[in-house]
Amino acid sequence: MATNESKLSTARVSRRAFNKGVASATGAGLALGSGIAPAFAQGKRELIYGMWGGAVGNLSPVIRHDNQAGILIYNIFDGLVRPNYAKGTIEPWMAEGWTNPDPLTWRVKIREGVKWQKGYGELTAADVAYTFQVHFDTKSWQVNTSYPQVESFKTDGKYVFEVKLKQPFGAFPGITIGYGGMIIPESAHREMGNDTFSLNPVGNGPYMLESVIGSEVILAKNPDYWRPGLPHMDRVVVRSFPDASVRLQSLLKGEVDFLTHPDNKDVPEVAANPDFVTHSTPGWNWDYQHFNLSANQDMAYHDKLVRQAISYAIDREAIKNEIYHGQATETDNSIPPGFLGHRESLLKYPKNGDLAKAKELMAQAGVAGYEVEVMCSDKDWLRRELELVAAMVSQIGINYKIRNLDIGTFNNLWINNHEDFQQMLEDITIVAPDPHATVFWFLHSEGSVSSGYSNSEVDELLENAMATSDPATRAGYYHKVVDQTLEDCSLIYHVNANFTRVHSKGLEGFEPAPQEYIERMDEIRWKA
Amino acid sequence: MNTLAYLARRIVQIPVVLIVTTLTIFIVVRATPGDPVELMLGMQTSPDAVQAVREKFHLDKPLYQQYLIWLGDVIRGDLGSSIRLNRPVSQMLGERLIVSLQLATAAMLFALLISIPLGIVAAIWRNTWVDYGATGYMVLGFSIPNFALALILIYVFAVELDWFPISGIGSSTSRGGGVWAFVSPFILPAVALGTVQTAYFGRLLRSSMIDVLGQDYIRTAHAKGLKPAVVIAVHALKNAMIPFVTMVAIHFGYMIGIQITIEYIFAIPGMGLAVLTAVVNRDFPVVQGFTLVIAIFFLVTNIIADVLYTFLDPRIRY
Repeated sequence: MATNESKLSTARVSRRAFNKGVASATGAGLALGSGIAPAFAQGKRELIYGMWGGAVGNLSPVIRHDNQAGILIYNIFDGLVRPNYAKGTIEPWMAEGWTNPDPLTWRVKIREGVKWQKGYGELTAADVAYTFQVHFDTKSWQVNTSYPQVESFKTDGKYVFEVKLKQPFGAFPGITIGYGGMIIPESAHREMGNDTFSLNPVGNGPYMLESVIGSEVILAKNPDYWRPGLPHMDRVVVRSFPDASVRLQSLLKGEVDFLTHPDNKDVPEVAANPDFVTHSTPGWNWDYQHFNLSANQDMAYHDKLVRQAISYAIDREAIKNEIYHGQATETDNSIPPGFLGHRESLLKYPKNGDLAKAKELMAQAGVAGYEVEVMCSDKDWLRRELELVAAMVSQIGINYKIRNLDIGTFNNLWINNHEDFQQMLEDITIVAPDPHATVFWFLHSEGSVSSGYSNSEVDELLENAMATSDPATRAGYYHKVVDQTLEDCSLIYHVNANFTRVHSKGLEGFEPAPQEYIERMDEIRWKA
Repeated sequence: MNTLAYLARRIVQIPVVLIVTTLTIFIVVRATPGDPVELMLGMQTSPDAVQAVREKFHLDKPLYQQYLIWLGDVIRGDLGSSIRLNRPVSQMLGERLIVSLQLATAAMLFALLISIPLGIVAAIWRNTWVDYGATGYMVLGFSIPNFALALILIYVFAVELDWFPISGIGSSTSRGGGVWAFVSPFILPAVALGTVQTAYFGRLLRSSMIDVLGQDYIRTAHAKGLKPAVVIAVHALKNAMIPFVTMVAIHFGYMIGIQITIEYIFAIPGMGLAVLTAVVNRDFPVVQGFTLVIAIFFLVTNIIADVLYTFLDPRIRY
């Protein structure tokens, strides 16, 4: 199960949180005022959705987009497959089914009768092939994320798309036609060109883009949607609110009906408000410590005993409570709930740590203590988390010198694996619904975001998992990988942070996703 | 030099100032670490993908060429496209400039409504409790940061009293409909943004009025038996307004550039927030395009202020 929905109790919300929040520079802690349901919206078929962040743009699935745009894209387009978060499986969607006649061939049957919006005809295998070709022609980011195993592709009739791979790839449904399975209509894209299409996307999903003005996006119901009776809303208005507390207050005042990303400290109070429903869902993400193992060979952290000691010194529950106000799940491994291969969130390291064991490991490593520079980006919660972690590891003699960087500088240093950083704390949202994405990219010695970690046994297990289609067999390989990395601690995981959504109690039919960029609004509706 | 010649000189200076400003911004933004392409494409990116985007935005070219390409495009009326949002900068500007102008206008109206009576009464009843009250307000207006005031306003007038909405500027869908639905979202942000201006303008008008009220011609007007209200309105205020009006013009341009905090708190899709986001994301075309427009705005409002001087005070010659 990927979700852990909490529909909360009946106590009325006070305004105390606001009073606390006024002291904060950004308005953190703005009021949880008396919950006023947007009664005037009852019976309407319009939803006003309060999104985090600022302006949105680039609404084409074939150009790299941010998470906010992803929320819109995943309502304008229906992909080839769709994760079933409850079952932890990948299910047919625009692809009715797929077969794997030999290890290198996948044949995908496209659903018949699905229409593109705005009269651009029927979705066919030709559109799928065209979309893949656009990615390769434009050298999009998907070439390296979803299609690195793709050797060639072709159509076989109007509704069959066939892919030949360079090597067997068991994650094909989740990654190649999952994360990489958003399809665009050839006719509309050719007519408009890549850039214009991103401003005026034509999809096959429940909603069509009506307008983008400033930080407000209006989606209108797709009258030709392939699922009868859906979507329930005639219009979804997406408004961006940079400040979490103001976003929440706007919901409580009835200015919006639905919001994402409230400030975690406000969640318990709003969750207790009977006029609203709060979904706090463990996210597909990690907060983790990353050691630059490709450089700084003289640093003590190259000894895995030291890294284990650090992991034992971490009180993950304290991080969950102090930084995330309880809206997170402690974890010590790379496969979050809802993923193939997930067993437990904590497999080896106690949630409160084990200081005695940590000191014992430091002694065993012969390291009395050392100083290391640990960088993190300008994300407020990560800065605070790093301060907390620094206090924890100081108890075993390690002095974390904190280096706060703006996100641009930070990304430049770690993504390019520059030698001039030693260690970092970061959070990652996992984009593809398959453990290959969570594990291979980070832990294989040739993974694109490898920390420099290299273990031939892990490499072999990951390659075997990649070459296997049977989910049970793949899961077994991933279990072994996780066990080995718990021993090696090349990355030290802290928590899976929850994604929180709050909406009026008048709404029903919303299924929260553990992925930050997916908010399915097709089945959400106002209660009769 | 007559006014027309002065104006011509100022207008000729505009391109030079704009080139210096945009070149400075261009160098500063690019000198800051962080690659906009990698920020946009994220961590799972092939060198080919990075290179393709760099070529599209001319980021693969030497710096001086990048600037010249941008400048050439600007002269042709093309401000380029946002790297992160893939939207034309001119389109973003069009949407956001209107919002910023609306907010600045609302804040300025509030500032004038408060500061003019405040400055007048403080000057007329100088060193009385009226003056102390007015100057006390002005000190408070100067002292309170606009983000703190914004939060207090939200708490009192949106949360507790529920008189005004928190957000809705720039939205075509504010609930309620009609003129009030359009106007009401401006009220709290305008007060938060304009309060410091009320203090500044109030003090300016107070001191200017005190100065004028001590002039001989005011004494003469009183001696002629004119009603005090006429002396104040016709003889004193008119002359006291000369520095005031020009400062209002200058501050209107200034208000466009200081809205960021207010835009952030009230979720207003204005220019400040767009620039801030663009700087964080190293979205060079947006930073440059918006900076260019803000600079033009400053220059134009300054020229208007200079021209206003000559109209309001015929003794002034350039």
